[in-house]
Amino acid sequence: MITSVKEVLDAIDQEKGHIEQLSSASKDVLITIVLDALAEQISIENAGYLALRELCDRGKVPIELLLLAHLLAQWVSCATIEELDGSFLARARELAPDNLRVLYAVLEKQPNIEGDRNQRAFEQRIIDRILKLYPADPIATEASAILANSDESLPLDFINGLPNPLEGVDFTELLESWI
Amino acid sequence: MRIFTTKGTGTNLERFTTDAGIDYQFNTGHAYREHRTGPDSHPQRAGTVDIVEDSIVDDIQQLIASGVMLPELKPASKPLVQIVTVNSVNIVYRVGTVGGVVRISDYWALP
Repeated sequence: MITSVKEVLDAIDQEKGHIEQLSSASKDVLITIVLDALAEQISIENAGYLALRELCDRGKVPIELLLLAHLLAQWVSCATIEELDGSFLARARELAPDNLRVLYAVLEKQPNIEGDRNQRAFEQRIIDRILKLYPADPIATEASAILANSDESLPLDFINGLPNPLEGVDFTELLESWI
Repeated sequence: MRIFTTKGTGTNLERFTTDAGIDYQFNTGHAYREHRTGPDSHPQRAGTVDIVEDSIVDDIQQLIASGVMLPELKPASKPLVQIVTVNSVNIVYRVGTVGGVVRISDYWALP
């Protein structure tokens, strides 16, 4: 078990044996790397993302970490196609189908994670689900009104304006309490 | 048509170009393919990879010229989703900046 953050970061920097280093790294080391990346002390690209992926792949993790991995997978070059297509989000959805953060992330995922080529029908299903669980939810209420007045799927300015599903999450507190 | 350089192959293919002092990076291996929503989502419906990516750069340049600030890769931010029409096919793309480089992490065609 590798307990040195530097050892793992060096391997990632050199792109040599970093997969083995990450899989051998202790949970504490991976959490430290993720926290440093979130604090922008080291790069999220590669080091931060790869450590986060390794944590997520080890089994039971907080939903928020799966959503963070999903969010970052939409940016980073080192994500796999499966991750870009929503594999972390699918896991979060399976574990917490009624979680509002998860439902927001599902709503904004494009192309959608159900593979439904009718994007509007997909969006309507998710919005109906949110409103059933959270009848006063303002985002779903607005989205429902938009769809009711249009034959199109949700406009991009609405999708771009959706709140970050991770808004208000204190990852330092979350990860430190999870150690 | 701009000149693109490449790195990697297959799903790891990345393509790069520079225009007006701005560097662009496409995660082409992630993007120029059939997505989960089926064959209609393949950007090849709009043309070759050169045509599609060149059109996206044109569109981003117009965005930047109109004053739009591209989001930067941070844990709390999301890439911007935009749409451009290429040869009558609507192409949706996801864009942001990473270390000063404009990155297009994914794009796909609408049915």
